[in-house]
Amino acid sequence: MAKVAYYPGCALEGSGGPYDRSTRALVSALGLKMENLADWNCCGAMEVKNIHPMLQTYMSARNLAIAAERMGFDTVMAPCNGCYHNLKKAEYECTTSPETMQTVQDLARKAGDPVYKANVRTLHLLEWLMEALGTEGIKARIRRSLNGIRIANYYGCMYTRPRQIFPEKDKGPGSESTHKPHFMDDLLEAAGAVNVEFPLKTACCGGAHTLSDSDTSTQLVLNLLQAAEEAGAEVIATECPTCHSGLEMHQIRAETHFGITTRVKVLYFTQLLGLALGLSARKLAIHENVSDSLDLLQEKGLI
Amino acid sequence: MEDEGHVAKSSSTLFDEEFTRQCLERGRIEDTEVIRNFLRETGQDIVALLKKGWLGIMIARMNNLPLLREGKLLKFLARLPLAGPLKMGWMMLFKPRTRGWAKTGEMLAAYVEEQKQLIKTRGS
Repeated sequence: MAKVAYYPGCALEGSGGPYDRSTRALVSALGLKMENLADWNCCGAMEVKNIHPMLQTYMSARNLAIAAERMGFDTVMAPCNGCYHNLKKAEYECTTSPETMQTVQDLARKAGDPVYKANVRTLHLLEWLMEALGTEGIKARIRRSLNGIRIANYYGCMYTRPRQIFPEKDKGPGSESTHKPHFMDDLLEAAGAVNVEFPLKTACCGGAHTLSDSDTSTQLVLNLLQAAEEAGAEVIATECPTCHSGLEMHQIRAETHFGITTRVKVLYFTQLLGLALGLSARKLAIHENVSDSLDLLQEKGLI
Repeated sequence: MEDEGHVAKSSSTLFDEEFTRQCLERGRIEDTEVIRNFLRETGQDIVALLKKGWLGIMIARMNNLPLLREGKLLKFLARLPLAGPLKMGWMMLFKPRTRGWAKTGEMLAAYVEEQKQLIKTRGS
């Protein structure tokens, strides 16, 4: 499997640190190769497009251009849903609108940045793992089963929507589904987890308004936490730092503002897969999550 | 309407503006600076949030302080996070930035301004 350019994005450099560290540890344990994207910039997240949409398109395209033109990669791997979504959106906008492509290229020349030529693709970490190893490849590397831990897999809303920016999805067996994503379910099941039927796997956590409209976000997160518990989950597995932080923050806020306590734990899927590969909780930065799952993991014999 | 001062800027706009300011200035944002400036801009009491609100509880849990309060010193030490808080502290002091971003940031800021003027001209 070819090496990819790793685009961590701002969240993994900050509050999503445990996701960054567990991603690096997992990738290394799996024997896959990636290289940090040089001189990367923020993709614009969910905010800058509200100031001007071209800001987000350009900022995302600049990262893609660096990977292709400066580093010679044809694939950028982003573990964050927001980054993944924005890079995919830039790909889509530039390939479907000659005017957008022209503006992006003009701006790059003006700034002295590498010029985007639509010759590089973006993969989410989940997609990369499925493409590089698949569930059989993961199974072959498992050293400690996840022991039937019951998981609600939470994909959030940006991994599959809007569906037109993900042309490689919904292509039948083996491809990811925008209607009912399953890559995380497949990988964790291969590692010995039991996936519960979680109806809100692509519902929004209110991440874009986590601070500017906190009560709405708390209510959205509470829906997720309660639905996961009702489905019998002990853990919600996440694949996005914004969703993950939102779940952790609003689990607390639901307690302090609404007096509603939920017990379900929140872990990055990389941390769960890493445990199954025999990596330590510390190496996977599980002790740095706000949601304290260490006692549960101990009970389950996973650490 | 917000841009021209007809209505007050919403919380959401204030958040977007702070986020974009950091992006244009440095190419990257720093989490705690976005939170701090947003809370200040919207008149929220950061000290109260730290002392009694969700922010304080979140930071305490992130650092496993509840274990210390329960007197479980050994467990606390075994689970003490080091790398994460150290990195976040470092980033608060030395803001993350993209090398060679200055020209790109200036160019993007000028582009946005130009587009806004264009819309105004077309509207008048």
